[in-house]
Amino acid sequence: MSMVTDEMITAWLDGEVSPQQREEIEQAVAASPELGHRVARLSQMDRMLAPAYAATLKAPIPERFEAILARPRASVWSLSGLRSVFGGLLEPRQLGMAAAALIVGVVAGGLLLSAPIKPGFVTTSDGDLIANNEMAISLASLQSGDAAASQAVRIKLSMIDAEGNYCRQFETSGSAGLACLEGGTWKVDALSPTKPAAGQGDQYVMADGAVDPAIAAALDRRGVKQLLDRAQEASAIASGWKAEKN
Amino acid sequence: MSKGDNKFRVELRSLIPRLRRFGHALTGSADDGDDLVQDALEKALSREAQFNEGTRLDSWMYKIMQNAWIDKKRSAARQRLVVQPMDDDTNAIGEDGRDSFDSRINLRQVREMMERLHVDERSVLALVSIEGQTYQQAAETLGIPIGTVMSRLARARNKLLLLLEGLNPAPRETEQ
Repeated sequence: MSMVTDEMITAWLDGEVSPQQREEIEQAVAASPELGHRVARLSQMDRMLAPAYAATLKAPIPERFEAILARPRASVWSLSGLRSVFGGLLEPRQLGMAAAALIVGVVAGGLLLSAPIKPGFVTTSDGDLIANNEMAISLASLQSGDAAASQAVRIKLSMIDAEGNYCRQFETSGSAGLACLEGGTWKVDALSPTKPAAGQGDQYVMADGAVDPAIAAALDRRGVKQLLDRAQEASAIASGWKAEKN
Repeated sequence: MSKGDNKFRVELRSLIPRLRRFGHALTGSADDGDDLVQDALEKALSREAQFNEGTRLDSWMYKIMQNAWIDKKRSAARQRLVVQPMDDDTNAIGEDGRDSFDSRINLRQVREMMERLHVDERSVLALVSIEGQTYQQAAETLGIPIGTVMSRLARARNKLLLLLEGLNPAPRETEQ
């Protein structure tokens, strides 16, 4: 059995060997009762594995899984998707604002310089943009719709991404973006200049139905698992963003 | 997979029994396994756009579950799942004239001993021996080379055999 390795035996059991290896192994097994005995026991053991876990195959699908699959499709970067996720939680005016809040921003990086932001609000670490000072405090402590006392930062919306990180949409005077809590710091994932829409005061509004491809890509990259309602947001703030993520 | 149809969800639903089986084998607990299935379903729905039609949905789901489990274990450092120290001398199997063991081992013991394996070994064993994936598929699911699939499998099987035979040692025919 010197030439027949454990890997070869395992591959042979799974039918994953070349015809030549197969012949080698079968010769070795034929020549060594000890090896044959061992291969037989490995094979017997392996055949017990699937039956050991067979119970779920015949069980009905649990209700909680059916419920997930029955949820309305939520394309969270579309207004209709937002509406289906929010249900009746928001007034129409707020819903419009929430959609606008989601549809702003450009992936940070080369475009960063074009997004004005107050000095001290962000810092860099390992190439990432990290919220700092009043920005970090606002992200951690404000409810959506509220602004810092200085009016310098306003939080628009909170969500949980597919990896389970909390993310928040924010606006500052002159820019808007997305920050996500990773490793204890709010990483600024997107930041772009805001342009007041005509007749809308300083409220930033996208043209109806328009989706910035960079934002769609950013959201797609992260995946948005859930938008937080006001109560969930309050509980997350109160727990220091350690609240149970549903 | 176009966004407008339900094919994706129908296919996901049809995979649930197998995903639950994989979750149970991977975590060692039917409840923990179901929690993983739930997370994976949520992730799959939120990332539907990232799924490439033409690739295997089952492999994609196994991969999400495997990654989620490793993350969970890492963050929670669950004592129950800490790998038991193993005697490295797995080659000793088969050299002591033990009898066939299958009549003395029950399925619950198989599940219990599976839990003793390292999560990397358990996942590859679950994919190949339970889920019936080829080495190529398992390699893609786990993001590792085929050679690693093979060596992990060999190690996993040797350890499991040692553990199970250690549980119910066969009577020796001759004492030496």
